[in-house]
Amino acid sequence: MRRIVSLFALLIVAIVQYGCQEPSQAVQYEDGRYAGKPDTPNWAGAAFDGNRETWEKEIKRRNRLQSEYSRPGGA
Amino acid sequence: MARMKFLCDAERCIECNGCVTACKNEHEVPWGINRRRVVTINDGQVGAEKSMSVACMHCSDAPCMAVCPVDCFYKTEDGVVLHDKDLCIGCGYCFYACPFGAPQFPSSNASSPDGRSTDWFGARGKMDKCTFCAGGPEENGSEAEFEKYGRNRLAEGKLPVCAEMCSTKALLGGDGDILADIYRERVTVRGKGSEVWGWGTAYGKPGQQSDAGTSSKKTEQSS
Repeated sequence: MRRIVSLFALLIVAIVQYGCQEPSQAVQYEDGRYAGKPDTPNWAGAAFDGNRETWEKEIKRRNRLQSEYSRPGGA
Repeated sequence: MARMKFLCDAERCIECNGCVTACKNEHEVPWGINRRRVVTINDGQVGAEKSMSVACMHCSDAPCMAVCPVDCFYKTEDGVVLHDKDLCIGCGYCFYACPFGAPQFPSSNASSPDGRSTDWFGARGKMDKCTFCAGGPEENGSEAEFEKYGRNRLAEGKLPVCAEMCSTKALLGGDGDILADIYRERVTVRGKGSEVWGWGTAYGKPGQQSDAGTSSKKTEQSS
């Protein structure tokens, strides 16, 4: 009988110890990865024959057109 | 490599809503969705009224990308934030995370013509937003790309239609460094508006230290 009581007491102590432990509250950050379909770059299309330099030049040219100071006859 | 950004000059915007109309027309955006809209503050107050055209700002550290549970967002090599509609589940997390209200939903309560409440999970439909006229993850210039994401002007060597057609050139779109140069020149000529900072204005051109950077270094050295 004494043995059962001591075993039971040990079990209670183990349960209490397990219940009182402090698990880590820090959230594990999972770095999200794009899970969709791959996209082709804008320069890779038929309009520029896959020539990246030409595409970049054209985009830069149009970028600068947005400034009226640099246009011919600009303010 | 270009780092695509929008910059809206509140000193120039005249609230014509031309950018909104051009966007809807170019991409045949469905009823109820506005990828771009014009926000006006101090409406009607003489001298204090300011308008600004707002859409997806293609954030460098985009919160929509961070919260998406199905990871349907990606960033192109030019810094344009796009998403895969085939993967989107319409949960609306991106809408709550976005500080600009850019993500739009075709069946949300706000866009429903008859006002039916459909703002619950799974009933909003696939998210739609400004693509910087760069389409999406379909073949460039294909019909599927147009139907899902609208026209891919970048692949045609053009800039977003909203910026290119802006009559007062209040809305600028393109490489952040070039936009900062254009804006800096404007501010110098007209003598005001420097409180609005673009990329290059804030951080300087590549290989050139900005004023903000040098002043913070000086503070560090003195402390």
